[in-house]
This record gives sequence, structure tokens and C-alpha cells, in this order.
Amino acid sequence: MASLSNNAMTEVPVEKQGGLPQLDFSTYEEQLVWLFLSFIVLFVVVWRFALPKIASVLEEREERIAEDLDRAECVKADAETVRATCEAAAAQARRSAQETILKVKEAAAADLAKETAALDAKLAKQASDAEAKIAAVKAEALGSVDTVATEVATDIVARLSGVGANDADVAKAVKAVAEGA
Amino acid sequence: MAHSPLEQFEINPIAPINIGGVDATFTNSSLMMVIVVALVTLFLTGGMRKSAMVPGRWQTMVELAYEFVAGMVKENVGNEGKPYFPFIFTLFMFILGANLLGMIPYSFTVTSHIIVTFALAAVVFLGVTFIGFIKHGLGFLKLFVPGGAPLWLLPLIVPIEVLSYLTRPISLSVRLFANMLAGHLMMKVFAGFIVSLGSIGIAGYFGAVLPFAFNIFMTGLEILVAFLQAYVFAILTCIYLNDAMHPSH
Amino acid sequence: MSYDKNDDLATLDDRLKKARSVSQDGTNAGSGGTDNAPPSAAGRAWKMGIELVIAVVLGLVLGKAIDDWLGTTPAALLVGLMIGFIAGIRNVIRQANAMQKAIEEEQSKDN
Repeated sequence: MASLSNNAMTEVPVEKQGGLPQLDFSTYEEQLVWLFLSFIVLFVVVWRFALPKIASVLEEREERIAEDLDRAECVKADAETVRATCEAAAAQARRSAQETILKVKEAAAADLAKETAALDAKLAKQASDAEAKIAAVKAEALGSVDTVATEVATDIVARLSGVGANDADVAKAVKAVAEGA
Repeated sequence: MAHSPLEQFEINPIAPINIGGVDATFTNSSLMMVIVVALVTLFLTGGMRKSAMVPGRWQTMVELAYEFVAGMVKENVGNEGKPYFPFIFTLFMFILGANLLGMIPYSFTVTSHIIVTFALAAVVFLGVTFIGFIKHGLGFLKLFVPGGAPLWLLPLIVPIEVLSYLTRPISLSVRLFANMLAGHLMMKVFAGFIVSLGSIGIAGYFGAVLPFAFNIFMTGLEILVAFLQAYVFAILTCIYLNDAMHPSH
Repeated sequence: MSYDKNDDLATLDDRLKKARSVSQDGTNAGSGGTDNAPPSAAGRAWKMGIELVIAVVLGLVLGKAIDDWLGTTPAALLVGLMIGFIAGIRNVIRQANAMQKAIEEEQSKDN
């Protein structure tokens, strides 16, 4: 550009020696002409070609992003329902398992109670049998005590008095003593 | 050669063209405008040539520019601003392209000429005023009557408001022009220091480090300013457009 | 049991919501905090000064034009100068208010 300005024809060299070139009115006309020419060309290019293209790309991208977001949200909703059903199934399974456990527990408890009762009955029976046996033995023993006492008493009486005592009397006496004691 | 810091702003004809009495000489300024248009076109269409769903680096830059301006229009004008989005986008890209391209050494900064920035601002100003009258008819004049002002003050307030409205294109254009001019002037002046210090000798080399560092810093700052001024121009257009849409403020 | 996938679904939900909000923001945010290059104080002052000068000069020029047109020199010029000055101050005040508002918003955003 420097060489250009040096070699270029200098129309009004004297005028350009002093002052701001900006105030050289002789250049205004051609500056304005070229400014409007170039500006209009640029405006048409921008307006007709550049901006519609940029706008369409931006719009497309925005739509695409919105679409993708929508799809992501859809998928998310699906995932959430899947999770809900999973959780419901898990809860169901847990509940039924608990029920089963409860049932088994109850059954076991019932069995245990029955067996305990049976054992109790058996033990009670054995105890009462044993008691009856003891009672019988005791009664027998008591019975034989009377006989032994009568015999002993008769014997003692016979030995002391030399008189044979009547068995029946002795027995009566023994009985009286035993009852009195 | 002692360069004047103003030389970079000189307009030099390349090919004289005259169409029907209108001077349409092709100059270095015209060349830069054409290059800006070509580069912006290349940037926009090249970035979108694949129209990929997942954008690459280039496409991301194009989309960023689009969304930046679209967000600006939406935020400041609302949905009614949509029909004017192509114009504001073109304005932003043109100014940004011209500002950035002017940063290249030996190139020419189109936006450092007041007539260019003023023409752009005037188009915005006239367009916005036109839209205001189309949308609201004479109701657009409400813009010049602040709500709640006493009636007897109106003869004073209305001229003030009208004048304040008329300053818009001027301050819009002067802001862009002055920023580009000042930045480039500063850099040129300091570049001149580097050259003249460097020609002194060894001691000058060390002395030249300072303006050199300053110029590096300025280059970064100027790139920021290039963006900022394109942004300011576009956002003020949006604000003025919003005023035209909703004149009662 | 492997029903601890609960967590996976919850995080997926979070991520979906985040993606949605991002994609919705993307359509209308755009500029968000992009204008985060606050002009320097000097830049602001300069801008305000220019604003004032432009209004005064414009008032002057318009007044002069009216004078030339109606031959009322220098009445319209003086009136134009005055109106330009007031309009310039008004512009500056309006801008200062806007800046104040922006600063307050910035601070409330920080807090």
C-alpha cells in the first residue's frame, strides 16, 4: 500500500500538504460512492445468504438438542417405571417370604405345643401310676403293721402273763392304741 | 524520510472513474472497503460452508458474531427489532472489519474518516427517524415531549430535545472517527519516536525500547477499541431503533 | 439388591434439567456479559465532553443557519447557542445517569 500511495497519481498534491486529510472535501464524493456501494453489497450478501444459513444451522441445532433432551426425558421416564415395577416386585417377594416364614413358625409352634402336651400327659400318667403304686404299697405296709403289732402284742402278753391272749382282743387293743396315737 | 503521522490517513487515487458526473475514483479507501466486504463475506460464508451440527473453530466464531449481535438487538429492541437485524449485523461486521483491517501496518483505516462514519451514522439516524414516523405517524413526536413536563415549559424543552436528538448522528460518528483517528495517530507518533531514536545510535536503541513497548501495548488496546467501537456503534443503533419503536419514554 | 440405581436416575434428572436451561438460555442470552470492557474514567469524561461540545456546536451552526435564512443576526445564533448548551448538559446528565445505573447494577450483581 505504501508503494501504491507513492506511485499513484497525485491529483491534488498541494492541498494534501497541510491539515487533516479527513477535512479534504474533494475526497468526500468518491468515499461516499464507494462506501454505499460496498455497504450495499455486503448488506445483500449478509441479508440474503449469510444470515439465513447461520440462522438455519442454529435453529436446526436447537431443535436437535430439544429433540435429544425430549428423548432423554422419555428414556428416563421409562427407566423410572421399570424401577417402580422392580421395586413393587421386590416388595411383593419380601412380603410373601415373610408370610411363609410366619406360617412355618406358627406350624412349628403348634407342633411343639402338641408334643409338649403329649409328653406332659405321659409324664402325668407315669407320675399318677407311681403314686398309686406307692399308695398301694403303703396301704399294704400299714396293713401288715397291724398284723405284726397284733402278733407282737399277743406274743408279749403270752410271755409276760403266760396266758394266751385272745387274738381278737389284742387286735382290738392294738387298733385302739394305733387310733389313739 | 520523515513521515507525517497524518500521512496514513491520506486518500490516494488508484484509478479515476467518473460515472455521469459523479466522482467515483477508486482510491486506497475504496480498495479497503472492497477488501473489508470481501473478507467479511469470506468469513461468514467460509465459516458456514459445512454447516456442521457440531461447529468447528471457524464456524463457532461466525455463530458467536451472529448470537452476539442477535442478543444485542433482542435485548435492546425486543422481538420487533428482528427485521432490522440484518442491517445492524452488516453495520457491526463492516465497522469491525474496517477497524481491524486498519490495524495492519501500511493499510488504511476506512473508519478513521469522518465522512465515512458520518455517512453510516446518518443512514442510521435517517432510517430510525423514518421508521419512527412510519410506525407512529405524528405520535413519534412524543419523543420530544418528556412525560410530565409543564405546558409552559414546552417551548423551551422541545427545541432542546430536538437538538439533543439531532446530536445523535454527530456524536455517533465523531465517537467512532475520533477513536480510530486518535489511536492510529498515537501509534504513528510513537513509531516515529522509535525511528528517530534508533537513528541516533546505540544509546538511541535503548531509548527506543520505551516507545516500542508502548506501541505493543497500544496495538493490543487498539484491537480492543476496534471491537468496542463496532459494538458501541451497533448498540447505539439498537437503542435509537428502540426509541423509534417506543417513542414515549 | 441393585436398586441403588436411584442415584443414577437422580443425577440424570439433574443433568437433563441443566441441559434444558442451557439450551434455552442459548437462544436469548447471546450478549450476556460480553460488554465487560468498562471504559476508563478518562474515556468516560472525554466522551461526556465531546457530547457537550457537539450539542453546543450544533446549536451554534443551526442558529447561524437560521440567522442567514431569516436575517435575524445574531438573535437565532445566541438562542441556538443557549439551547445547544442546555441540550449538551442534558445529554451529559442523561449519560451520567445511565452510567450510574450501570454501576449500581454491576454492584448489585456482585453482591
